Amino acid sequence: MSENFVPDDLFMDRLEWQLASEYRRKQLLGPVRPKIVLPRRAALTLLVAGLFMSGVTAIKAAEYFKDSWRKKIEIARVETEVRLMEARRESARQSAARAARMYALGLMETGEDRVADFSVKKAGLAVDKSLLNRDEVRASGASPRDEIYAPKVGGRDFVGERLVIVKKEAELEMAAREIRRDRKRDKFALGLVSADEMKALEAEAAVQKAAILRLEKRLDLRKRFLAGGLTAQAAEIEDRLTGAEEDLGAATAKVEVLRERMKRQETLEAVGMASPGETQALNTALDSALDEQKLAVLEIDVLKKSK
Amino acid sequence: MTEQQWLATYRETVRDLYGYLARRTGGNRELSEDIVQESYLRALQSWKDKGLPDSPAAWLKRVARNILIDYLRRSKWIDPSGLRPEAGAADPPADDPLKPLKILSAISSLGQKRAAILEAFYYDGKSVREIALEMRISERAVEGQLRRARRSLKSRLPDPPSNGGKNE
Repeated sequence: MSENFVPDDLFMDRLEWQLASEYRRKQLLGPVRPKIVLPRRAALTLLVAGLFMSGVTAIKAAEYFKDSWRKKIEIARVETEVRLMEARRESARQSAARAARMYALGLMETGEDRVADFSVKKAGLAVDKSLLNRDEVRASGASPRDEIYAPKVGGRDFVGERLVIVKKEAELEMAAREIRRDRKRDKFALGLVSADEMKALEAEAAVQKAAILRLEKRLDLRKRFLAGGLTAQAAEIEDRLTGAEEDLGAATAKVEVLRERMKRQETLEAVGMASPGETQALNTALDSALDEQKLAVLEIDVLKKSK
Repeated sequence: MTEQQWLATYRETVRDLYGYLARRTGGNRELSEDIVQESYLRALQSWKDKGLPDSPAAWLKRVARNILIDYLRRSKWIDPSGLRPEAGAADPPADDPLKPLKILSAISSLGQKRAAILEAFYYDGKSVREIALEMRISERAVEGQLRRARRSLKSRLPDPPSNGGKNE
């Protein structure tokens, strides 16, 4: 009998792994048991369910893309994405050339020519990423995967390669924003920019740094997973933990900025220079940032317990 | 259904299910693997709520066959009715990789009973006696159905190149 009539061992192993994972996810997504009545416990259960929802969605998506006609559609989609990104890169090049001419004529602020160059580089990275996605879809027949525990495809580490590109994109974005922040700092020194605005910009810089740090950690996790130093489950938990810590950092920075603004707002309102409506709006934003902070703390707590 | 039962059922049935599909797709590995995968995912969804069926293997084969037939109907390169290709269409080459799927497509258009008998006899290698026992009909009835099914199938398939592309 031809070997095509007998299932491949690798296929059977991978399917068994997928079916076991799917079974466990379905168990986790099952109905909440009646004995869980405390709000905190209910919140924890919902959070765990939410954490695993995205994984289930990813598996379902991959499952449907495997059929050959869907594979063709997916390849057509990524090829369109490549063409779109190439067109954007061309447009960014033209904008950069225009910016360089205007800068030479003294019609643009300091550093804007470099910002335009960064845009061209970012557009180039977007092309690289779309080409990578296309190669992955062609090799796997499935939509590109971003999970740290995703296997290599045809011996190629698409997840790692994509992370490197995303990190470069984040670094370029940070460098471009830093040029503008530097200009603001100079203006702040001259008293042309408010302290509030400056604080918000510094918070933004902190968030960008944290995002890059997270990408470095993800790359490290990926290397450890491929080297066999981490199980798929441990890699997933560590990855989510890093993400939750980043969320906590961003939410904390936001809370600090909003609290400062709130203090000033209350003073202005007391002397009749601000309306109660404006204060209320700021208060709502602060409450929302505090909720984000609490959720991130809760998520970290759950993930640490899951280890 | 516990995880152990689920995985044990998978291990017991996967080879048989794959073979069942591979025979119908002419050994098309990619298509067979896709349908095996989708069948088990559907099984998990159904069995999780309803429990294991009496015969998981039969359940899986039925679902897998439905997925395959659905695939054939939705694929534009196969006439969904399983009828002859349009007049003037070129004869497929002798080693046409789609031929097994075209044959299955034609079989599936014969009606449930005839298709089941033909598939059991030709794809699964079952004897007339075994089919008769399974379907609870006489062996004579199976033979009659097989004869009529073969005749219907012949009229629905393009003539083989060795026959000069003409009807008998």
